[in-house]
Amino acid sequence: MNLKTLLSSVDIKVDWIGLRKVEEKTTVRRARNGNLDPLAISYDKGIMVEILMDGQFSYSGTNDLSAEGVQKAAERALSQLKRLQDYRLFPFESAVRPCSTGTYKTPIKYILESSKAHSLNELTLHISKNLRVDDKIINTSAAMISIEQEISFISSNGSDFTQHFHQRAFHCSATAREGSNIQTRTNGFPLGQGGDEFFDADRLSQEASRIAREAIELTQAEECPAGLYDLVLTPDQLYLQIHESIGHPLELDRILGDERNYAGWSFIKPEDFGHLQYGSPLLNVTFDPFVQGEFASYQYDDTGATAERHYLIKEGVLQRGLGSLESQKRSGIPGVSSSRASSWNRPPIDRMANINIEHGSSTLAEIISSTESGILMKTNKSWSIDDYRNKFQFGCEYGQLIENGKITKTLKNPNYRGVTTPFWHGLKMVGDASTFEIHGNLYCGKGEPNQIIRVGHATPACLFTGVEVFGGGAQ
Amino acid sequence: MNQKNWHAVITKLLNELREGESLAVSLAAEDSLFVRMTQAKVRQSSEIEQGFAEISFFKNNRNVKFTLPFTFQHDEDLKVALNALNRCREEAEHFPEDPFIQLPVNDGRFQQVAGEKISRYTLTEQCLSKVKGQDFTGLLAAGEMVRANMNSSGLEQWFETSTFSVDFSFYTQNQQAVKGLYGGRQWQDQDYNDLISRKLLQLDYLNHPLKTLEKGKYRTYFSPSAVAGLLQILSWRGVSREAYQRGDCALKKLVDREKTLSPFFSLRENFSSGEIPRFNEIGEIASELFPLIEQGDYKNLLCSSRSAKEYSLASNFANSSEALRAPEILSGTLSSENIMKELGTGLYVSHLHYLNWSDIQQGRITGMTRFGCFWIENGEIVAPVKDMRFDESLYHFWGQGLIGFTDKAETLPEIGTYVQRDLGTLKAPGMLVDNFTFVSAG
Repeated sequence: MNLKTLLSSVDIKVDWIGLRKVEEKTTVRRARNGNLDPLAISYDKGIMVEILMDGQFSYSGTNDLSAEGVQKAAERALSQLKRLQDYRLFPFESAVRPCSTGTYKTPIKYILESSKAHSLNELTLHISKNLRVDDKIINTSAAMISIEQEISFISSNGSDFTQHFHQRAFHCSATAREGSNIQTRTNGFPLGQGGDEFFDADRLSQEASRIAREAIELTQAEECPAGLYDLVLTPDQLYLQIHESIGHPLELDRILGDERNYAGWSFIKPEDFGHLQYGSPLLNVTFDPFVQGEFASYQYDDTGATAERHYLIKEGVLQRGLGSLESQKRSGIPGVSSSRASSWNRPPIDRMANINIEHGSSTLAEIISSTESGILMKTNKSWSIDDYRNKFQFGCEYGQLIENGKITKTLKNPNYRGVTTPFWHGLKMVGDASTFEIHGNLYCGKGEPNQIIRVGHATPACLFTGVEVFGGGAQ
Repeated sequence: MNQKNWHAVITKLLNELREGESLAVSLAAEDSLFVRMTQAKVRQSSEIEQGFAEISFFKNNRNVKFTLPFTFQHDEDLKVALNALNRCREEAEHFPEDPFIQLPVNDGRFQQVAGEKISRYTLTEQCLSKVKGQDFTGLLAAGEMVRANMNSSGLEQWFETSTFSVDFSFYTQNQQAVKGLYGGRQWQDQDYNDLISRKLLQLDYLNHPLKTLEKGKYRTYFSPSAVAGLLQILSWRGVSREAYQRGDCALKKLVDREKTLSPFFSLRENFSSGEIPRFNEIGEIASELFPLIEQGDYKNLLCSSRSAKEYSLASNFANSSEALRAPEILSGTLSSENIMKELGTGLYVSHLHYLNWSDIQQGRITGMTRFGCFWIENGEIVAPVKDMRFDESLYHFWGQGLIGFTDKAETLPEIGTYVQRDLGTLKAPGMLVDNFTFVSAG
């Protein structure tokens, strides 16, 4: 039964009703040490019934997609709404569920036919074997993830849209041992929207070969020194710095306090928008749902709000938050179309999507040559930040010492810590388009009940001044 | 979530197997209510009915896994399952042999039903009516959960439970907070009211001016909830045999006898509460009590049958991720009632936040203090403290830095809700540590 017919079959008296159907197929191919793990395929589908009555939303989800199943879910949502009417938080109107119609499809070059998709098993296995470039490599792994997701939404005020996404991710790692020194290097888990062209055999093999050599190199490297240094971050680390210290604190539900009991609050106050100097004037951050190949590109969020590109931070000044029309109405803060649900079984909440730093004008060579005493760090390994998104600490896989404008040696266990706005005020140089890379995260968690969502972050390499840096080992 | 429906569909699926094929099927299902609360009001409420079945198909030493929705609607479920079975057959034709394959075995029948179901629809009122006028926030989760296994060797296991939890916090006007957790199988108004009263009393302390501490090493007491945070991170490359074999395990230096832990520290899996089934996702049944560390000595890592085969070891029937399922740190001798006196002068840490390994080879963990932490002098609260970042090795705080554990442990229900509600409990006492390292000023 199609969604329109299902909606018309629901017999319930409410001010507004919407049905959000999600159907998803995921295939995970994984090999370790030259052997393939069992092939893992998953298929999920279900519907979230959303109703609005007397200013209050209520949700009920089911994976029984029959007319009877959806009717039952609608009735449960309404019963629950009536029981909770004395505890309504805010009088919402149906305007927070705008009428949107249309379609979105991930641009792809090709999808392998099922009879040829088996070649990806062989490629995964091949990479896992080839990562063992030396006897010092004690563990290898490679994984390819293919996701196909369709989200359809229909509502009583005329919304009717469908979005079809193809997403791909590739991960590989090599662990090397020299005596008691063990070091792991990964490819940073690149991911994006697109077809099977993402799994380009030559590119992936080269990447694997590089990280295996670098894992061995790290076992012979010096420990990262401790002290205040200038810090060059490449995009495979900087993306997570953006995520944790710009993305999350800008979420309106955090600023409103909805998330306090779990992921936390935010250091940002409602009055900061339009005024707060978040970072140096070189910092330009956008919500950009239209970057081809970026993980969270889309046309509509999960409430039907049409996606638009906006500056979140312009020349260092905070402009907008990340949040739904519901949160915008409650807070009076301008937001973007980023109300998203992890799947059919969760209500939409305020999330990130594609949050990017716009590129500047410096080449990586110029950034390095202008650094007198610094450390370059690549590829995230460890991350932690406080519940107000202020005090952070990150660890990376691979470091390089910069002395008098030149890279002089490789460093193992590079870490740094800082506080959000002073750190972004220390932004001294922003890389040009040649340093710009698309990354993202498959597993961004928040919300009660908990939700995991996929986000994209694109950024150039950047230079920061005066950062507290330290290495591994005993404290 | 009718067991008969499940049994009928999977029995028919198993009857479709051809010669040389075998099959194992696991189920995780729930019928749950979630109420997200803020300012003692309801922000969002949802009811979710869902099930996920995982088919594990075996033929000629090939293994393909297929996860699919399970709705307890016989015809639809059977149709989807048969399609999945055929897809598994096709994929297995093109898949290489698995040298570490775990063929289905019959490890015994298991049956546990929920008993009386939670009256979930009165809980929101019971929860919120007691906190009117307070800045109360949190999540109420309640309902039924099922885990089950069947396979072509005749295995049949069914575990069903009906539970609730309220994970909440109260906030002061200056954004300081205390956290509480109430959960179980039966809601008792008196227990909940007592907990709320205790938390509001603690909240009063947070209205005092905040004290800022310099970074450094402090004598520190960790509440059972804070100890639980340190314990939970062990599920992430801390106690896994596979992580050890690949050189990426936080306890590697203990296992290799390069480092030692305190004789006060004992860690085990304890399934005796019955809040989580002893069977794993392929039906293997773990020991009810299983020691990992006894009085500081290494005893076992969690080893799945797949790891056991890969590394020629004995399985202890861990789940596939080799994560803790029913962890317990054994109690010690420090008086819980007089713990402030035991602490004397130092930090009282109620909760920890956002933990991660900062150097896993050294067992080093970083994270933040959170929710109502205090500076104590001579056994008395002096002031709440600003949150601080720590970075410390488990070889210190469970090693030579460990002064001891309290004589009473708390049992904390699992409250994670990613994809579905988590099952189980964690048991931990309070913990007193000398010279615990904080790396940023409060």
